[in-house]
Amino acid sequence: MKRPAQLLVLVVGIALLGAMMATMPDYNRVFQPFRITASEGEIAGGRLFSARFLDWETAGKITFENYGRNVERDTQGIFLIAHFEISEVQRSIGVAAVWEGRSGRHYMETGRAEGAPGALDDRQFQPGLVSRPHAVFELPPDEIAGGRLLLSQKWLNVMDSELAQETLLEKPIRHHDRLELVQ
Amino acid sequence: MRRFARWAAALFLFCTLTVLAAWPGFVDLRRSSEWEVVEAGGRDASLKGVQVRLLAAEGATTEQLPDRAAILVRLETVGDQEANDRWVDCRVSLLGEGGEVWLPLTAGNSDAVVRALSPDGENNRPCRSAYRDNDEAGKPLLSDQLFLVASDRMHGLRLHVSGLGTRPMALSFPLEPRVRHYAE
Repeated sequence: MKRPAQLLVLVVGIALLGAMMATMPDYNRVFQPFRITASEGEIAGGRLFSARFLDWETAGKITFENYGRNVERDTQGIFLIAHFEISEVQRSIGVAAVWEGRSGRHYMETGRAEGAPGALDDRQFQPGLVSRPHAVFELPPDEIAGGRLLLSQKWLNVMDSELAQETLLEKPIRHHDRLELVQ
Repeated sequence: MRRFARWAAALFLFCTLTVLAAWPGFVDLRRSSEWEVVEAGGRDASLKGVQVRLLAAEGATTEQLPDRAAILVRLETVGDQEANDRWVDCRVSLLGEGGEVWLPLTAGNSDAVVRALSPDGENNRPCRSAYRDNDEAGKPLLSDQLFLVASDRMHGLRLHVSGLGTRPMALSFPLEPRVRHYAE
């Protein structure tokens, strides 16, 4: 009687370990940031900073001045310019912006607007100062409506806050054929 | 009794393995944190063989952006080679009364502001990137770091300085920058 019981414990143990191994989340899933979601126009407060979505606009072409040179970019998709406010900064940080499209895909900021006034780039946000930067994304047109802006500290963001900003559904999106990016 | 001993041994083994597994993480945390702050009364202090002197703290505000001040902090560090090695990854930060932390600006275009605020018009680069090798041992090493601080939070600032080999210990200096206002 003792032997079958021991065998049973062994089999159940192996089955449990196998199940745990099969369902073990990967590194990114285990150490993913904690998402804090704010609804339209409200402030999302994280550990190191708070943010509020202000406005959005789209453009077929963007232009900006970089070191005295006029730069113009066009796209096969559409440019989305998301405006937001950074406040209540606890420690000097850089901020990374990602657009989570309606499909759930994540889009990084386009590198083609690098150096544009007001862009995130390598900008640092400082305690005690409120800033209103923008992030520029290059997207398929059907990924804008129903999407959301995700903001987090730049570089390593392990088990820290990620601020999700619901977009302004009631506010009609303004489209420009050509938009000049300014501060 | 034997059963208790077996449980105790298993518990001991479990705890030991847990500590061993977590040890590298704990060491990393120690090296990145400033838990033990050594208060410096004046502008001079030493920590783990390196003498640190606060040479200048110059601030400036402008008419266009009165809500913020640029603050230049110039430090001089002197130590032998062994001590200098402990100061690799030197970290300089400002702490506010409310616990806020300002880190030096990293933007490349801050060079002109550093030169405008520094006493001799030079930019000696931040402590973090200051070059240290055998030739530098025993010689005073200058570093310049530029901060952007909210104008209404300039009182009660403290300057924290530490190196990879000194942390979790850090030096803490009281900081009262001399602030000049630039009108249009």
